[in-house]
Amino acid sequence: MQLFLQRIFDGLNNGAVYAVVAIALVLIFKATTLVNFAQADMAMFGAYLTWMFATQQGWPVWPSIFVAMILTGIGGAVIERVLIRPFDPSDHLPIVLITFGLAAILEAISGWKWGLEFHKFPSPFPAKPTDFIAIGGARLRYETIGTLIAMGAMVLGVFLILNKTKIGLAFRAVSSTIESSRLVGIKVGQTLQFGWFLAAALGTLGGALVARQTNLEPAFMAKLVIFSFAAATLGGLDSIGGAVIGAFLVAMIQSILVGYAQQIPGLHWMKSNYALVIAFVVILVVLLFKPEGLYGTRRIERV
Amino acid sequence: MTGESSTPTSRRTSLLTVREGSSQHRVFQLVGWGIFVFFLILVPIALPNFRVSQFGQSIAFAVAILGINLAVGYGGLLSIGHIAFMGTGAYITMIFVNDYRWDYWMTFPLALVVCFLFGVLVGLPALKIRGLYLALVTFSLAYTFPILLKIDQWGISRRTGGDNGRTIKEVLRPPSWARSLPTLSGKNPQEQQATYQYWCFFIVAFICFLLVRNLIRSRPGRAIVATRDNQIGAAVSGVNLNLYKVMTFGISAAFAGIGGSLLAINLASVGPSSFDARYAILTLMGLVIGGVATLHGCWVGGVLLVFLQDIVTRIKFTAIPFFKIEKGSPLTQAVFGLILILVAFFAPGGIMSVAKKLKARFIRVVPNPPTAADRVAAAPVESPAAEVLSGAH
Repeated sequence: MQLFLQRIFDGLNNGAVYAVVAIALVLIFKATTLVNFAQADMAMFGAYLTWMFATQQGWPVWPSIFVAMILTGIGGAVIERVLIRPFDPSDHLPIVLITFGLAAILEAISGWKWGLEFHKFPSPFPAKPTDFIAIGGARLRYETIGTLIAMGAMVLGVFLILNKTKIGLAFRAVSSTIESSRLVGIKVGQTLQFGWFLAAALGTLGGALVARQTNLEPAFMAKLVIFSFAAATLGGLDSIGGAVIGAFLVAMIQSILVGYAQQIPGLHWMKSNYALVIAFVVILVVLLFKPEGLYGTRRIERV
Repeated sequence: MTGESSTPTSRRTSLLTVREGSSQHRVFQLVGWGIFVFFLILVPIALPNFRVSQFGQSIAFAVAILGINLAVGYGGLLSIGHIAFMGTGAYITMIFVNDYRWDYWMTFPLALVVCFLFGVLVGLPALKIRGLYLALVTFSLAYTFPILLKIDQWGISRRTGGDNGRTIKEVLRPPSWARSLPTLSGKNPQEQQATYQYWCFFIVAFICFLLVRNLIRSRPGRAIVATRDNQIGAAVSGVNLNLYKVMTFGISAAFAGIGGSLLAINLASVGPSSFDARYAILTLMGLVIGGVATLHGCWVGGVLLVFLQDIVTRIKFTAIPFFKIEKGSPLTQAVFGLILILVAFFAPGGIMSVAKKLKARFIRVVPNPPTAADRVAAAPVESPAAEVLSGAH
């Protein structure tokens, strides 16, 4: 029971992180009908910026995260304008490869600037070994609680921005029908840029939340992003709420299956680094049997 | 995306206009082939053995890119996971040469068949999953493949060598007649070996390219392209979409597997790091930079892939202040990413489309005017269906 609870708590922690990145993916997918394969590296870059402000400039952690979010957000908006907008989103190959190229460039820049070695990341939450609440013998760490709260605040923030502000309304209009939005006078380009701004900033937050647990190196987010892809696919690539639920489902499946694989005959080779296989299977199964995901909009194709 | 279509620039006055199929056109084609063969022979004669070996590697990548091209370029199935098929081919060659003492040549048919079946298996989801979603699935396949090789069960990691991979003990030894192939110094056994490998690779690649060229020009090839350009239109015209998609995936996987087998011979060791997501992206980039849905583009992509990596690892970046450069940094990818973005902006059809435009400045090939017999064949047939259609308007 204790072990089971512990695995649930681990799953909650991972789920919150996957959710943050999955929401960023969903925002970009809604805005530009594009799966942003550079999301991991944008988040990684933001985490590095945070780290730079916090350790090299000596700022407190949360202001560093905030400044890094703003900076990467602006970066995201610039990327949308310079690299994404000139291309036709319905021609997938060039645009997919451009996001890959962008990812490579970001990874190389951070490798040059900050080196390839692991860095210890300052924790945004109390993270001493004694900072936990014991529930049924399992440890619910303050970090987990903090990550969950940050995630909840972020979901609330995105919800409020999309539903209570004018630009949020414009964003929803554009993601629903681009042509009609243009006709009623919405500045489509700026709205899409706003989507990228939000996504990049959220990615940075996700990176900063997870960097303390994984340590910082240029590829640290790339290892996680497959799970966020799985989460976003499971929830439906255009549903923010779905992404959150998908993230927790994927994290729970991962945590429990990897945790108990030792006891399941025929699966005892499965160690934590094989969890990627789970993500792959989730993506494959969802796209095969329910391509719109749990909460996504069903797409109908016409000639 | 095709790069094959005629461009407006070809309407500009060019120096020469030749008719397709005329003797002049034949001469130009022969000259083109002559230049190609000249450089092909020049490589082992003029370059030291490690360069020859790099060209061999380029050929291996060209075959793999050819396979990817068949699915991504001609079939419109956006797959990032072909690296898994390349890896399968490479591992089959390595395992059967090492553990079962097979000859290199015997592993090719096996790699072909296994990769074809693997491709069909992966292609089955492609029937339902399209576009970006397929990219997602295949991307996660590319991520998962190296991990699957390390599974510590059923003897998998013992055969594959796990994290470190395994070296191939057997070398592709040139037979005595092949030692007289022209090389730089003429005596060095390493040079002879590299040259022999180079020519063997070329023969395999030549057969592969010939097969794909004929496939693309044939009826099934046109059906594949039609599936890419207008799925519903193709289905209405009687193309069995499911069959063609799965077959495209299978055949392209088979060629990628052959490319992987060649690569295994060239590298002389096979490990998971040569077949990870990074290389999946690099090969795709090679394809796009060379030119999607062109055959020559595959060669260009293969050569670029190998030599850009070589150049990038040699550059001394200490000259650039502010950046400290370490070996093994992800620089290659960044250089490729940058080139790719530039190509996407300035030459959307890849290097081959630029070459085509340049050629059009000098020589313009115009198709033959239709003969009287063609006109009769192409004339609209008076049929009840045609009347119904015209009456509907």
